[in-house]
Amino acid sequence: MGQQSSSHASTAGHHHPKYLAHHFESMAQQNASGKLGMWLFLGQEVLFFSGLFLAYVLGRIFYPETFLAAHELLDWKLGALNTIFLLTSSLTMALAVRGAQVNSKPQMFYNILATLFLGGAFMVVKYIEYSHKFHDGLLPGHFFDAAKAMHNGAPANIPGAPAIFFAIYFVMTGTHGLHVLIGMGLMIWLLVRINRGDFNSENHVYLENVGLYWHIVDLIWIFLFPLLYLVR
Amino acid sequence: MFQKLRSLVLKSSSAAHAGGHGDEPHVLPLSTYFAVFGTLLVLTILTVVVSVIGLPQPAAIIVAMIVAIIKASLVVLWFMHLKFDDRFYSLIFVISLFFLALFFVFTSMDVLSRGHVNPEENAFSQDGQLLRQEYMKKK
Repeated sequence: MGQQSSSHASTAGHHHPKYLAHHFESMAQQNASGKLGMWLFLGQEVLFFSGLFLAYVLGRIFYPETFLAAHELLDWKLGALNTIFLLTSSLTMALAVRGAQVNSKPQMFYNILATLFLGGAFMVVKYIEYSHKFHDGLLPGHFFDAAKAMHNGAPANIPGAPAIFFAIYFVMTGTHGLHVLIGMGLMIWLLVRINRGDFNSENHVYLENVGLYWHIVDLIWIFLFPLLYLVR
Repeated sequence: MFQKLRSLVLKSSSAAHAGGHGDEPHVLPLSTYFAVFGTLLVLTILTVVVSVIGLPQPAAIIVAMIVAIIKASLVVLWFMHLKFDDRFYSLIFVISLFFLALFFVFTSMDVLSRGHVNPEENAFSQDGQLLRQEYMKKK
């Protein structure tokens, strides 16, 4: 492939860096294609999560009192802490992409590292919340344990169908958490590649695409937080 | 057709702000990122405060959703660079939102109008509530 691209460079007579695949005309075209693919995937992500949000909306229409009563059992302070973690990680992610644009390896590396740690902090808080819910029997579907929940300080009778609320809660936050974990895995991969010196101002579409993915994950949390933890 | 559409969108965007694209990436000043981040934090505090005050029922969710939409727009426009990028990416994103709206509207129309045919399936009637409660108890 290296042979091919160098011969192509001599015939085309213009700048032809080694990371430009032979089937692309220019870096601008290669980067635009990568980003186009990513945006199509993000459109898919929006639609993927829309089903979960619609389940929430309909659940709330059918059981308004359940949602209002059951959401009191979620700790909004932990939710707010997680919101701050994710917003900050979005900032560091955006700064990492900027670091690539200005060709700064340390700016790329340390901002991605910070994003990785903030994602980890988010998952730790999520773990604390989940273990609390498990302990209190606040579980989805027929795993919901009303007696255990009451014993652990839940109101005597949550009206309607708390099992449905917690099913929606666990599926929504669980799917979102899975996205955070995948994002963290991608960041470890990015750190290795940044360290190897693979990215520069001309070639950083991988970094940019992981960034776009991370921002979409943040975007979903921006809606999840008020819907699940706050609205009363 | 794809190419045609793309060039159409590109043309309209380059007219909107000249020199926005090209091989050079659009580098925003650091202050812009911190300003966006600051606004996001302020809006987060705002949603929490509004919730703690406890607005009456329909107002609470409307305010929360408006604030969330503003926050989402800030992230999409600045952090995801849609404001400065090829307009074609914005088009894809907006199309996904359009289908999201379609999905919400048509499903809700179905579910919420079932009561007209079968009163037991009415989301808001007493009968419907009781039936669902009994069903949940049996589970």
